[in-house]
Amino acid sequence: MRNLVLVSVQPVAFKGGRKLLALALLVGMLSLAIVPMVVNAQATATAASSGFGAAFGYAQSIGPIAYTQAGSIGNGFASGSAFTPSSSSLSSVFTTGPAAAFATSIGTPFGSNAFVQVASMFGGSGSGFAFASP
Amino acid sequence: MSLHRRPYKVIIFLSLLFIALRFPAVITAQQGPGAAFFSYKCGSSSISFFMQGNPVLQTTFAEIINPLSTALSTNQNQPLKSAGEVALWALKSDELQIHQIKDPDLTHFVVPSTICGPLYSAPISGGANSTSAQALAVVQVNGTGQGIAYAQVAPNGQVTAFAAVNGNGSALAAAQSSTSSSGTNGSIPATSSGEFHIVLRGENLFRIALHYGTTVAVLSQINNITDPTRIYVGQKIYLP
Repeated sequence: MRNLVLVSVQPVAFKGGRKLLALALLVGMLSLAIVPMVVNAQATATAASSGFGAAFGYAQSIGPIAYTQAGSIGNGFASGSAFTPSSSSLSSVFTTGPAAAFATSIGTPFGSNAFVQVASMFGGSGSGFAFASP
Repeated sequence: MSLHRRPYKVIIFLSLLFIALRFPAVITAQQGPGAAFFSYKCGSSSISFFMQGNPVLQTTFAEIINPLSTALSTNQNQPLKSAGEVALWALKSDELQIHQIKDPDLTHFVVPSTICGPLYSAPISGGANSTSAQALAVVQVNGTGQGIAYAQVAPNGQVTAFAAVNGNGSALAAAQSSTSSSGTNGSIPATSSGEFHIVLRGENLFRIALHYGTTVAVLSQINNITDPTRIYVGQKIYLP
């Protein structure tokens, strides 16, 4: 049984980002090809920014609990994903120009919650996405 | 003169040490009053016992493993097999004993369990899966960018990934904890040939690795052994 999910999304072609993406894909493919496994817990965080921008992604799996955060300000993108056999969590934000976004979500066997906040001004734009299960 | 002799002494000592480690069964003698009329013959994966030249019992390595493991772990002798008037036992002293059922004390014949080589076998079902951890953190920045990536799999299974960047750059962190699985049996590490060695008393991982022509690091990785100095008698060590 294979349950490996590689989350590496970079909507903006930042300089050097392709190499990073290729490396991540390569590692993911190799891990799939070489080691058949059942994934107990997985956490992935990505962040990318350009010019006046900053971003962070955070993901954590603790036992059956999956928790993620993603934040971005200026020109940036961030995502976090966490999976356990009984829960999952995904948060992702994207901003350009004078904008900020924050997304967080938590998935537990007892319930889940997701939160997104976006602010922009003077032509900036931002979007956020959060998902958790069950 | 002594300068010339000393290297030879070292070489001889190392050679003897290597032989002792490489062929532990060779330097162990058979014992017991039954040695007068019991004998054995080694096959590629079995041992045949003879009583006064007549074949009386044959057992495979696979048949030996479980009773011997039980004997070593429980510190109690275990019956292994019987045929006709003889019985074979796995002893807690990591030996095999064959004797006549009617008079074990006066007829027992004891040989080391590894007298015909290491006890390993083809894959078997059951057993524990091995858990492994993977973590990856990559940061790439350009110009005045700054970034940090952090990935961790804690011993308790907690998995954390953090990536942050500002300026021109990107960061990726990924971590996962997984259990290697091999079909429905699920007991053989994916990187193992399926053969394994049962740890015997007095053995260590270095000695086992030397015996099979591999390294401690490889055996540790395959068997998910975090502390190579801590293995226990009866433990299955899967081989590459």
